[in-house]
Amino acid sequence: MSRNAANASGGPPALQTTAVSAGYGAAGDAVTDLTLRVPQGQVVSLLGPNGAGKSTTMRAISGLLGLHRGRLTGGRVELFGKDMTGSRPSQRVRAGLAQCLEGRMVFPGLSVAENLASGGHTRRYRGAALTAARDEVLTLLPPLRNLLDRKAGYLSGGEQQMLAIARALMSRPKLLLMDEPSLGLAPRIVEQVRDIIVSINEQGTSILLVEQNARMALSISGYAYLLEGGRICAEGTPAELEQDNDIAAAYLGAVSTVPGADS
Amino acid sequence: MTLFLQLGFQGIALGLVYGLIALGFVIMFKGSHTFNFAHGGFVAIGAYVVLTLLPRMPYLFAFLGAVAITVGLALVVERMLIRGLIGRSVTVVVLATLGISTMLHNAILMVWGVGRHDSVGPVGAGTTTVGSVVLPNSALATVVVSVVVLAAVAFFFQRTRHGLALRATASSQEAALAQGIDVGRMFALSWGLAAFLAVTAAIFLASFPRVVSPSIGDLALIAIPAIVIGGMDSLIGAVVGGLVVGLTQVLGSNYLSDIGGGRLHDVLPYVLMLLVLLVRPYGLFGSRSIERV
Amino acid sequence: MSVLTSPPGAHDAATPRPRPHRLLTRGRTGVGLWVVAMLVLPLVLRSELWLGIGIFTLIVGVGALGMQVITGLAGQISLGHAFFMGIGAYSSAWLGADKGLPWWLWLPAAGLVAAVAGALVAPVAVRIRGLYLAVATLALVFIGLYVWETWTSLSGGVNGRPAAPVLFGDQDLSLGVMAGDQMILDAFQAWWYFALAILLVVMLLTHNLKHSRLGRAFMAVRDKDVAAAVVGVPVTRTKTIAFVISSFFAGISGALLVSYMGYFTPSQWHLMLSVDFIAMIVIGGMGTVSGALLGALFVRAIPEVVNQTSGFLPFVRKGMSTDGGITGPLLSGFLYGLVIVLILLFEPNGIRALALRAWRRLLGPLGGSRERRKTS
Repeated sequence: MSRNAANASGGPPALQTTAVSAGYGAAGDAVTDLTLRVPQGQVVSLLGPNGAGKSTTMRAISGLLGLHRGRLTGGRVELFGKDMTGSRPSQRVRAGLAQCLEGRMVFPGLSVAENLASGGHTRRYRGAALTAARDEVLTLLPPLRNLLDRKAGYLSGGEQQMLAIARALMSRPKLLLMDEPSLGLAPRIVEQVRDIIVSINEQGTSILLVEQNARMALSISGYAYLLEGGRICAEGTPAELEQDNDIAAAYLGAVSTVPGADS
Repeated sequence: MTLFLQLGFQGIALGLVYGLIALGFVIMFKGSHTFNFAHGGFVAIGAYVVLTLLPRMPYLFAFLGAVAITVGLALVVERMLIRGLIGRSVTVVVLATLGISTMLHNAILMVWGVGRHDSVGPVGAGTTTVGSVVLPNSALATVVVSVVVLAAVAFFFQRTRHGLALRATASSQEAALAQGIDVGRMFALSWGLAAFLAVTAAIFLASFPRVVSPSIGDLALIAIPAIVIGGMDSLIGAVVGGLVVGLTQVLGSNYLSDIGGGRLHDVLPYVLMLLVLLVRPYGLFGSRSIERV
Repeated sequence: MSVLTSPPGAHDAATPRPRPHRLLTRGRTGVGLWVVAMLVLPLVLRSELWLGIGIFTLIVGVGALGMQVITGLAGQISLGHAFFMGIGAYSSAWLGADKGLPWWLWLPAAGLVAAVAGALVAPVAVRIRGLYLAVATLALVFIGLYVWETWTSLSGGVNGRPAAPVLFGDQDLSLGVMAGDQMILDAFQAWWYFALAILLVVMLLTHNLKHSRLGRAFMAVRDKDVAAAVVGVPVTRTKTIAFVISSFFAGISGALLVSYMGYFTPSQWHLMLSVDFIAMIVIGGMGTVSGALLGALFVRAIPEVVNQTSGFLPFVRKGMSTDGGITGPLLSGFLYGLVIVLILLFEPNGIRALALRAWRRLLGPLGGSRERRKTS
């Protein structure tokens, strides 16, 4: 936790949502009155069971609600102090946001190198600049270096997750959204992914981490929100949350079954 | 042998034209997940606009004018219709493009009538003799231009930032959006590119029998077997499929003229397409996942 | 017009998702009203144009229900409907006109031959989905066209051939029905009732099919065939059956269509006919009997209406358009495409939903009195 504190800096928060509500069609709001904050340089996690509204929250922040036939029904989304509520996903990426989607979603028919290049779309890298940006990203994720010509669809689950992270980093984001990066990965790989998240954060990138694996998420977060039924039901530093016996029993104990996530 | 070579060359030329049309289908399909049954209408519009502009200006300008008009039309259809139908079922989108096709067909008849018009084509009616093989200049021009255009399209997709973005969009719209790729712009780009290819194909299609008639839109439908043979999401497949169909038609029209009423070559591409579907339901080069769309 | 007061309207107005038992009570009243209206209509409607449109609607309604089974219920998009209708038409003409069989033999036989063709195509068709299926069935249309045009001894080539007449005893339906010296039904009325009777049978079959175990299997396949397989629906067999039933209805419809017209050519089994049928069910309303019928009426009536009224428009010229100019048929073709596009954009659930909404709005303040106005 101390490393987060060390990185924390002044200025506006990387992300601030104010009373955000969002939903899909006639089904009503999937998330209600969501106010959360990611200070610059911090790792903040968003925890909660399946169907609590975690992915909807992510979409509201990244602007991808429309693709899922959903919409923002209220509230404000600010990135680095700038109101981005109605803006398009591409504008948010230009403002410094990047994300790793749930289920990784690499482009299976494209090579690893092409996947990475597509991640740098908004940066308009050309020639040597592209190689330089890629090399920089690959220092964090060296295993990908030998797979550059491989089709992404042929990679293992862990490799795809690394590719998804690397692709997101290609736009040199200031804020990274990560939706369930540990989902479906072997415990050993989860540990690797966790270390990667830590090193990305150490380079100054703020991170909003959505996880069901609460133990893993809390071990690297400076602050956490607990989502239940589309609302925030608890928030605090990991220590505070773990001290609350009710919360620990109801949310943290039940989902911390993945071994190897302890630090 | 000489006849075979001559026919083979004609078949390749015609096949490349079909390949250009088929490529347009595939690009729209990749870019916007829409199979555009109105694409034949774009081809026809392109041919007619060239025809109309030609007496007033040099060929190149007429061609560019037709490109401008057809691309504009494609962008309007994409913007006003296709984007409004995102997320709707295949049946709905297919019917919508069939509706546009009906509108274009009738609009063409209203403006230019049912009659046939002589067409000039980009090159004259001369021939070039290579050894004992006599090749029409129009077929030569077709091959040269098609190859150049196809190479340019390949370069665009493989080597440019927007080409990559288009391929990423084709692969997953959500992931493409997450990279900051403007998917709406990719829709428009794919439709514009396809319309450009349609006009390029149109001027050569019009120079084969040297007439422009309303059936030129139906003629473009023959690109559909080409796409299915090649695979709906494969750029290479579109060109290979086009060549297969072109060669089948030209060779068939000569060597099979005694059987089946002399029109067998018209249906052979469709029979071929069904056979391919029987063996490979996603085409020769297509990816397996597309059959689910 | 009468189909606008479609039977399921009554129960759907009350409950957006009807339960089967509601159908048996309120739905029946609606169907009863509709049948009565359809029986009375040819007696009071004196316009030959509208009677003709009505008969065509009843006949293509049979085919539209076939389309509803394969696309609306089973979710398999088929552009091959024109092909199966053509098979039905030629089978009926051969059996009825060339071999002299009575209609109660050639009509079911036409359906059966088309169904067999459907069964032959099914092994390929069930393996492919979505767009590939659409274009594969498109191939059927072009191959069919080629066969009809080339097989001149059957089809008469491009000049066409006469169709099988419908004879009751020695009375030809196309000449009206006589009792002694008295004409009790004129040709239009006779054909109207004949087509209505067939349509009612097919409607009943489709309705029962939809609410049967098989119908639920169709919809399971439509909504997700992988999941359907998991819950034990035999996907391949279910799709095959859907193809066979759909082709059977198409065959019947094709046979009736040419018999009513008396004479037919190969060119009418063109892709455009298949498009009409897709338009019928998508525009009418997917997956419902009344949607198919509404769509059939719409697709048959719109071009006629435009064609008729265009005579009064100053910018529309008469005759052929050799070198351009707006003529009635061109204008109606153009508007037909435009209307398809507009409905898809602005009323996703089709005109059935539109009619239901209008119905609900009228039902409140005015009671049932407006219903009769709409029927006439």
